[in-house]
Amino acid sequence: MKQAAKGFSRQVVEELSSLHSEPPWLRQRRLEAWRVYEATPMPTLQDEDWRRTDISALALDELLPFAEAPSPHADSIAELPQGLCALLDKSRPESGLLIQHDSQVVHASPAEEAAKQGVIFASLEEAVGEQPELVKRYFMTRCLPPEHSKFVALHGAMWSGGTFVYVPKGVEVELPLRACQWLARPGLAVFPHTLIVLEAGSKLTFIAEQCSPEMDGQALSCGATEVYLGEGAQLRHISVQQLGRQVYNLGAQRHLLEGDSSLDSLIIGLGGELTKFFVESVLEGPGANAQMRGVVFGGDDQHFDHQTLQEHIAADCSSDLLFKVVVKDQAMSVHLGNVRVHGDARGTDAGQTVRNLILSEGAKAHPILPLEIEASDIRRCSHAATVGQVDEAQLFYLMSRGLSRRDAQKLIVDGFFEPVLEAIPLPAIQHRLRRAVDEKLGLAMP
Amino acid sequence: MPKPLFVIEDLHVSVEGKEILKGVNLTVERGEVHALMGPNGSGKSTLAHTLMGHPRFQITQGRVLLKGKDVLSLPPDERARQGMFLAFQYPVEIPGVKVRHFLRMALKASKGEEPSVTEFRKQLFEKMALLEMNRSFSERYVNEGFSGGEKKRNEILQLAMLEPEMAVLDEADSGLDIDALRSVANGINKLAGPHMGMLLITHYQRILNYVDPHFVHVLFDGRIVRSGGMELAQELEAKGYEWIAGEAVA
Ligand SMILES: Nc1ncnc2c1ncn2[C@@H]1O[C@H](COP(=O)(O)OP(=O)(O)OP(=O)(O)O)[C@@H](O)[C@H]1O
Ligand SMILES: [Mg+2]
Repeated sequence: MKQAAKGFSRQVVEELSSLHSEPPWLRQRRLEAWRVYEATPMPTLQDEDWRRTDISALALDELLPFAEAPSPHADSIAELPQGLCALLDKSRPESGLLIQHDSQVVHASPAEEAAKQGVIFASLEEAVGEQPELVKRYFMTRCLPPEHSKFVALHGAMWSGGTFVYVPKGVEVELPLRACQWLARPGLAVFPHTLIVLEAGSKLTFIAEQCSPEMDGQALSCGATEVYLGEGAQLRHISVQQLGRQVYNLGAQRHLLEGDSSLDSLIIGLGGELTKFFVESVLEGPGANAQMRGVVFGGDDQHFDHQTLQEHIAADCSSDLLFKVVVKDQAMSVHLGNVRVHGDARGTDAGQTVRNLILSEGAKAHPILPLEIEASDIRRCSHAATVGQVDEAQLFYLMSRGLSRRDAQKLIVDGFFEPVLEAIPLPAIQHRLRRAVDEKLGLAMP
Repeated sequence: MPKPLFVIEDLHVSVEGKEILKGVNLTVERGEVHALMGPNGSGKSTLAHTLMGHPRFQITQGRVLLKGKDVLSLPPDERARQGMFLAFQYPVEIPGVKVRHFLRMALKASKGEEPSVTEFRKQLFEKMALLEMNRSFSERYVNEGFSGGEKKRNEILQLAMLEPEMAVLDEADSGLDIDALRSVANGINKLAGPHMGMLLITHYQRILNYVDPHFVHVLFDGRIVRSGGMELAQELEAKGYEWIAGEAVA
């Protein structure tokens, strides 16, 4: 099966499983996911989670569920397609790089230093063969089971390629690991899966990128990311989404945090036609801490919908969410931010802030931030959303220094994002994102 | 005869239908420092903002000439490029934008060319030393979390970097402790030179102990009701604005 027929079916699931010569348990999981998918109704505007996000224009039946990469193995970055090559910063030392082109992992440079410490960084397909017990235990079980939602179920049935990261107890990985998904084929649906397991006391920085060139024709990226943080583990997790303008991006990312672990996550949403992205942190062990940040910039008629969850199950955990959103032209951003505090979660400290900057009259932002609190003895649970235009006083101040209105606005938008971008560990990615922001403002030099 | 640097002619300004400035006249030549004093609400900031082109203020009558050209129809950025500068009474925060970056952008915009990185750094550190500012200041976000005194110093730093021909300083002295006042005043003295005209708006005579204005004017209820030299400032300080109020009514 170099390329499956269009559309999704049980038969496609079986073909995919055979193609990868999967063990029976994995085939079983795919089929179970497919069953859940079929049993779950297609989301519509009547569903609470999808009230402002209309995916009826997505022609699922027209999409290919799998396509081989044009060249299935690239030993060096230079062999990769040019557009993809340009994204990767070759001069930097990196502890590991994995690239998925369309449905296949085409490059995985081992994290040499880290490998010596027992760190596993490989394609998920490979890990199924080599680490079956680990994958069996963690893959779409407790973190993101198919029941999570319609498209997580579809993902569970159709996934291919994928990234697997395992960091043993107490190991601190010094350099970031980086996984890049390149979707370059119009009409294709990709289902990249990321599974990260951090054992107790370990430490990692992980950067996930989804990119594509401009393409003619609809495509779908339906990814899922599952992360387990053991006791006291620390993770910086950066996700950059720069998909092409025709791509639908329906994804989910969920972190399970054991006691005293800490997460610092950053979501960057710039590309795509429509995004519906679940970003969830579940604080399961006492003293865990989750920082969830996001930067979203929508232009043209782009649509973004981020649905976040800060779920406090254990006592004395803290979570803090800050999303910064800019919309211009006819773009729309929805942020559905849930905070859920269970009855036993004494001493919870949870905060969420969503700030929206509207640059054009036709652009819209809808922050919706419900709180669900069952515990009585909490430290703080706060939420704040702002929606506003660029401040006239700021514009006047900058213009009084000679900046044109346009440059003044650019400086204000850059400044809005800058504190978040500045914290990204790879300067090349920072640089690329600043350029992308300028491009969206209509200011970039070609 | 060369044209005067800066002329305000019979300027009338309204805000939301209420007339605030009721015919202001003032001429500033190169090399001159004019102090403009007046009680709270007399219209000092209204004048300053109007001169720089704030869109909220409606000009109902009058002209403002910079080097002989009426600037009232120009947007603020164009006025800046023509050589005007306003130090704000309440400088605005620009989150996420470093002082260093902002100054570079401002220089590029107002001078039309970008200084080289080394040239810019040299200039910046020189001016910061002049104002007794710590270098780390240039890495902070513009006015974000600045103390009142730091904001004022930052305004004067911009003045120093941009070297305008006509500078309006709206209460550069308010909220400063005595040391900060001295270094801000010091900076002003060093910057005011034969090439620049300066309008120093202030509420108190305090700063005039450090900066010697050539002229002192009193703005009251939207008009300049008195003009003179330093002795006028001293008289005001001694008698209070009540005195002017009494005279203006009389
Ligand atoms: N947006 C506005 N709407 C209505 N009135 C305004 C507005 N802005 C200013 N004013 C009024 O204009 C008058 C002059 O204000 P202005 O700020 O120019 O005074 P000022 O001399 O600078 O005072 P201060 O010494 O307090 O700085 C005041 O009576 C003020 O209330
Ligand atoms: Mg004032």
